[in-house]
Amino acid sequence: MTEPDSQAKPSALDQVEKGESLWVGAWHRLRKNKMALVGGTFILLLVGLSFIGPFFLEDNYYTHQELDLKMKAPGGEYILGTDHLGRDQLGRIIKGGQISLMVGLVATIVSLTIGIGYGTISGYFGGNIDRFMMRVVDILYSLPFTIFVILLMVFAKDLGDSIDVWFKARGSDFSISGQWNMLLLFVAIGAVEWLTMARIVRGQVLSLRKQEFIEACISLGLPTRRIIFRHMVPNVLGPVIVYTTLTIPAVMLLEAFLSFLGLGVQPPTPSWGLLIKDGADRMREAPWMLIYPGIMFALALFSFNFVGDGLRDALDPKTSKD
Amino acid sequence: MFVFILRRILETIPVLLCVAAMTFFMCRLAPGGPFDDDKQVTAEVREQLNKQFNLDKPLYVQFYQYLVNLPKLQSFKYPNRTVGDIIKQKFPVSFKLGFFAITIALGIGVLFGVIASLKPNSFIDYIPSSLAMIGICLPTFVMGPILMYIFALKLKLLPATGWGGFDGDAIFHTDMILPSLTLGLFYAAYISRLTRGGMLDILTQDYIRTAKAKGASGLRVIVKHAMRGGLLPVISFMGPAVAGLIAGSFVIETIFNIPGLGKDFVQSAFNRDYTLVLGVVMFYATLIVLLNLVVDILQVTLNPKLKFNS
Repeated sequence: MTEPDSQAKPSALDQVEKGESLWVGAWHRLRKNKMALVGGTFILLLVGLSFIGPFFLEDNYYTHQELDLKMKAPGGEYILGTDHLGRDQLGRIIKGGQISLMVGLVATIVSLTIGIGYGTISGYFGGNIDRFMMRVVDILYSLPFTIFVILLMVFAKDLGDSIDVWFKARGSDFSISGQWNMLLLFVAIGAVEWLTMARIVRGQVLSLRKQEFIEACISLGLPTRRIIFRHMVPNVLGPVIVYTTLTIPAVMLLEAFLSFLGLGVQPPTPSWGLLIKDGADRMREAPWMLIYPGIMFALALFSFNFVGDGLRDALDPKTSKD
Repeated sequence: MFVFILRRILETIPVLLCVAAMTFFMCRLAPGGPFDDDKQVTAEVREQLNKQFNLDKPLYVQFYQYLVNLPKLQSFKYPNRTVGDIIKQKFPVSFKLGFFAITIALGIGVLFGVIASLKPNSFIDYIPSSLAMIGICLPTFVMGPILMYIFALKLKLLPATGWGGFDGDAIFHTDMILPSLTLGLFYAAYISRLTRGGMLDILTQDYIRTAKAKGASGLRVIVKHAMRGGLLPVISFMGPAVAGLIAGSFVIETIFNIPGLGKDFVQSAFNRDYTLVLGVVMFYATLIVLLNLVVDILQVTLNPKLKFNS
């Protein structure tokens, strides 16, 4: 009776060591990828600039207007010039970055939650449920989703006010209309971007389900929820991390696209998309209004994509040597 | 094959119904109506208008009416013009833009991708691959204004805005170059990455070595043998690409002031022009679903593996 026990122990240890070496190995591989490192550094700088930077600036750093300094070229007190309303372009870009990154992060988390949940359920149950759920994803893939997002952003715009009225009529001070547009952005974008994540997770779960330790869990009679969340979710983490890094730029792109069409963040709050739109309208007189937000936005997308590619190569050594 | 196509066609019907229902109820459940913003309209006139456009009937009756004769319905904002008329007038412009863009995207993308795949991780790989990465990170609404700034405002080589010259009916005019290029380059970048990946997979296969061994020329091996399989990822990308092109045309038409359907669609949503919104959505949805069907059929025809499975 001691034999199985002594066998189980080293194998459990192996498992732990193997798991560790994957992450350590991934880090070693990632460190060799120069572009991913540069990208990662740039993202950290960007996060620092847009979330810690404002603490060193005045409260109204992105709304303060100098009406006699409209569209002043870069230089002097205004390093990146001023915009058409005499606001400091650097401050606008910092605040815009804050908003764009925040939308990117929160909407990604929304899509992540939906995608992982959906993919796990589909892959775990398999069979007809899986077939039906994946067919739904296929069909959703072929729908003109951007069109729905546009419609949702237009039509639900005033819904925030209606909700406030509803609460007021019931004697509550609850107010949502101030944040309504941001909330709507999170939900609308999150609802669109989960499809690929669901596919990836489902594929992983499907292959995991056949492995012994999951069968062991099932035969132990563990509740389904526990198997999914304690044993399966940690094992699909690698691809999920990779795809998350790649979803963030996609989400930021969609937010900028909506803001460019006038459907995203509402002025005076800037986002990079909105700044690019303002710049594009006035590039004849003030090209810097277009160039700097454009460069920042492109560099941010660049960095996230490089980090995502680097992580994929690092976490999945098989695909990395092409 | 026939059964497969038939099944896919039948499948599109519930999909399109869902699209119609989603669009319709999203429009109608949102607060605000098409005539609310007109301050001059009195309450009686508004009631009259609502009656004229059947807005006073129960929702399900309206939905049914919308479905049955959508193309013949009148636009709210442009009275006396039906949805069908507007689409017929504006879509050719958007179609031309999309067609030029996809031609540019395929031409540049496939060329760059194939070149990059011939000698991976060498000089001739890095240049097209980095160009592709730059293209992906420069969205149309950044690329468009920048191209316009360089070529129209600074170099004065091309017109900045418009479509089809002064009358707008020229078959080809220099003002079509910048918008098509802007829309096309973004997809060219994606396609070149997909082509490179697909070609790299194929070029290491045994049958390519066989083709070389039997003495086929280098060009023939690439064009005839490798590209057929190497371009499969590109073909499966064409479905989503068409949806993306349509969305992209909204932005391009706004930037370059092109009188296409995309620009009208965004405006009609703002105007609460329900009939036009639903009409354009259904039109685009049908287009996308049909093109996806074509892509699926192409995929099965080109990929022997899929054929055996079905």
